[in-house]
Amino acid sequence: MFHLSKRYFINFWIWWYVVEHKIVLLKLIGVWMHALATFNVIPMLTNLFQPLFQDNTRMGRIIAFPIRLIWVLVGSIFQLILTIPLTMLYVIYLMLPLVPIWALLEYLEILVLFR
Amino acid sequence: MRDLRGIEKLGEYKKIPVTVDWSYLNQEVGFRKEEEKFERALARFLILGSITFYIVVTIFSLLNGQFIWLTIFWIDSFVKLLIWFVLMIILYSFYLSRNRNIFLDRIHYRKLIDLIKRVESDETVKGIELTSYFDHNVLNIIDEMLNDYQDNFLPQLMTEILEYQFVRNAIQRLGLTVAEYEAIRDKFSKLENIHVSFWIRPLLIEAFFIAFTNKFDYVGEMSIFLWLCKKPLIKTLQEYNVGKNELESLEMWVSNTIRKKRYLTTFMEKSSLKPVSTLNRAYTSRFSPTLVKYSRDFTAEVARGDFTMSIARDLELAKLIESIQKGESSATLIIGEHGVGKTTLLKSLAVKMVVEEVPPILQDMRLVSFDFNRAYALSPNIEKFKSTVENVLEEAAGTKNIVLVIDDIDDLVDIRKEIAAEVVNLVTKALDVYKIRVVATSTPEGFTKYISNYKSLTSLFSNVYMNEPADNIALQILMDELPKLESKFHVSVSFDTLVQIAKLSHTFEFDRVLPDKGILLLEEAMVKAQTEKLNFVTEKLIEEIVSAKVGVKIGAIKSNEAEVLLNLEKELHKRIIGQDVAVTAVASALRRSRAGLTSDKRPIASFLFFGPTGVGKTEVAKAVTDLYYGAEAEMIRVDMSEYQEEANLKRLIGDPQGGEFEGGYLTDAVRRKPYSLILLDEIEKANPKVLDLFLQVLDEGRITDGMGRKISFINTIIIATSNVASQKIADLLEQQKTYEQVQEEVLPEIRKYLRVEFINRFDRVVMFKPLNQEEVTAIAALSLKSEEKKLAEKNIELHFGLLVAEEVAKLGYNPVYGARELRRVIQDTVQDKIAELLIAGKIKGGSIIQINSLAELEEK
Repeated sequence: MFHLSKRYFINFWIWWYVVEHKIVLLKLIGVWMHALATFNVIPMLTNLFQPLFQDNTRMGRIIAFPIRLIWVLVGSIFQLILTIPLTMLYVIYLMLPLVPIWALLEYLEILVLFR
Repeated sequence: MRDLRGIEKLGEYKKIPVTVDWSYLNQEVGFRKEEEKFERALARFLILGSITFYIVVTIFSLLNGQFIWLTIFWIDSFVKLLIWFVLMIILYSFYLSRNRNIFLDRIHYRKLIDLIKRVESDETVKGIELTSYFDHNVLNIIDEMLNDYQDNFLPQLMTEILEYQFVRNAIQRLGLTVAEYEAIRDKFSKLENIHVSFWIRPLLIEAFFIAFTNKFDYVGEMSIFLWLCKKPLIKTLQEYNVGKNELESLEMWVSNTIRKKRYLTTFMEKSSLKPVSTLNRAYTSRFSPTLVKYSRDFTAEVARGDFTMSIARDLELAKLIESIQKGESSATLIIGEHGVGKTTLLKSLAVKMVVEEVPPILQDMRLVSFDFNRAYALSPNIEKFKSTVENVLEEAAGTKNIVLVIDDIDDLVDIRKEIAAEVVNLVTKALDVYKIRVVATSTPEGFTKYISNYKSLTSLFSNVYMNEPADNIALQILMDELPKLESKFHVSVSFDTLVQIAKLSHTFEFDRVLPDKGILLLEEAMVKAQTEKLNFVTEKLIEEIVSAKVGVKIGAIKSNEAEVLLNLEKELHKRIIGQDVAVTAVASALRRSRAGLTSDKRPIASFLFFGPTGVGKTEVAKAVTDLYYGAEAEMIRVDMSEYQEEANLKRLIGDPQGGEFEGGYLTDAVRRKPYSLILLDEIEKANPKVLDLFLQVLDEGRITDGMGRKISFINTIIIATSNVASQKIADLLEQQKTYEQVQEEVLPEIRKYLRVEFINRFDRVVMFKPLNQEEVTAIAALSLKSEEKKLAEKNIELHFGLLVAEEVAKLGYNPVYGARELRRVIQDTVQDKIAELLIAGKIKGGSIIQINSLAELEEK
């Protein structure tokens, strides 16, 4: 009996919050990292004072800095925008199995959040 | 076994206890698979039911004039509560339906690779619990075996693992059909000791260590299959020609396949992040239009999905990466024969750059190969070409994100002789002045011939040598190439066939190296199998192809051939009269070679024949060539009297400076005809330095020619002849001394001309006796027979009387020249007369000529 209850009840929670959780978290981080690489923020930031396209003239250096800065700022904003839905998805993932419990409490008027 | 519970210690590894948790293995009491099937079916049912419920609820709510989903968070009805609970059911259905390997078994699962790392770095490991490293499939199998097939364990285990495609592929690789595998299994059903209690513990622990030593990701179905082959089935498999070598190859293949799959996963993840443009991610590089026009971008190819990794070249790759990353500029020269895997090594470097498994300085760089042949072809004149080369080098240096590859740099230097020095100057200047990273490739021959002369250039390069891989490494490469070729030609190849390919590819194509020539032979065999509508490339087919190429029979000895081999002396005596010792020595050597008992690092056989002139030394050589290599034309004759000066050595092995003796008389001949007999005539007359060369040939079976190429003599028979001490032999024999006594007394004479270590290198030193009158008569008879044959081709019959041979022998015998005069006598007495009659038209096709004595020629 214990084996069956562990398997069909306890293991579900272990699976959701340990095994699958790890997979989902890595997936979300992967998407975030992919975006970071696509927006090219890190290489631009680390080379903030370097000229573009090997243009080592004074003018080249002067032009390069604001371009890189704008790039970093815009990229960071996009990154931030992306971070919000990803965080929300993560939170939803964590909360999803708990929602029916909340619904029951809400129905029994023990915990009232939306009325 | 179903009652087994608790944890049992099965052994120790490096003092770490190795245990098995029987309770875990037995927990599903034989219903693991069935449970899984049931859970999946239930999951599907629940999901379907949930969706139906949602549709019904939505329709009803719409009919009631409200859309329930808009107020789903306001739980004021039981239906809304139900909706949320159904969501939970859906989540639970996912839990039931997902592959257990991904999650349910993962709760118990530990990564084997982590354990390997910890054990290798001597970290404290409290214990090894075997069940933590078993994958889903193995757990399924063991659960079933322990509970349902206790009395028929081994046969059932063999049946169970046959379900997996990987195992089926492995069976095919072993050269077995599934029917043969099943026949082996059926044989086992009748044997004792197939009970689970006898095998389960060895299976668990040994399968684990197979996975552990091969660095598999886990103990999977292949670990079980390998265990089966290496332990219970090993003797039975030998009956099917699957031996230790085939099993080692199988293990290697499984290991490489798993390793490649693991690497491919990382590659898929990281290659999508790599830019395919010519600029780096930080835009610090600049555009390189000339280079783009005349180049091949390895990193871009990889980023687009071309995944090529060289097998077993980790050392060379590490050396290459170390050399490239040094300082702000670097020049590396990869030296290796064509087909040794230089381009694959560069592609592997590109893969490593894309997945960023290289030092940070190389991570955002491109590996670009300059196609100078294209540049040359598209240049209207030589000046334009030079300027293109200059631009390319300048752009590669200026852009700062390029590792420039100059493939076959020797061809670039040699593209036009008159500008060779200028091209070298351009490259030298680029390497010296600009900050540029260059990887060039060359063959040893090209390096010696075109590059080594330019010290300014060679001093800038760090050399990485790529030698021809050993057979077992080449085998791994062939295995790696195999799936591609199999799907192309729709023909299968087993491991023993691959082993044969690697082995036999050494017997021809001496200009090529492994793995290239192995792959070529494999492709040729596959094409042949395809045209002959065969499903398998067999060893026999490979032997047939190679035999046809080299003109010598290879492979198993057939019955008619065996008869010839066993009667070789008789065959040789058809041409050789007397000289029994020499004939027996040669026949024995040929038999040893054909039976595969000779060393594969020395010539097939080597003999030193000494004795008077005209007694059959050269004739023996010719007869052996005809018999073993198929035609007398396969004999390479070297008159050693022409090599009395040390300076003549380069005539034999070639001259790196080119000119008249670029190729080398001997080395070129052996390269062209690796299966040949080498006759070294009058060896005693050669310069000692020239003889030193043959010391190496006789000892190692190979030499390096003037161009730096390795020339193999392992398929040659070497016969050296000498006339030293001829008179002494005759004198001693006249004194009625035995053959052995004469040889013993004459050898010191030979040692005056040839050093002892040289004489000792030969397999046999054979003395040829002077011919006696009877032997000369027999030779005369043979020579006259050949005259008969010649005229028979013109449809003229020639008959000799019984005494003619004796007459010829009397006239032709000369104690000094042996039987050499016979030919002249036959020419003067027989051939001349017949020629006159032929020209005069007195005899023609259909005529019969009777010669009763040399003076009496009668036309019938």
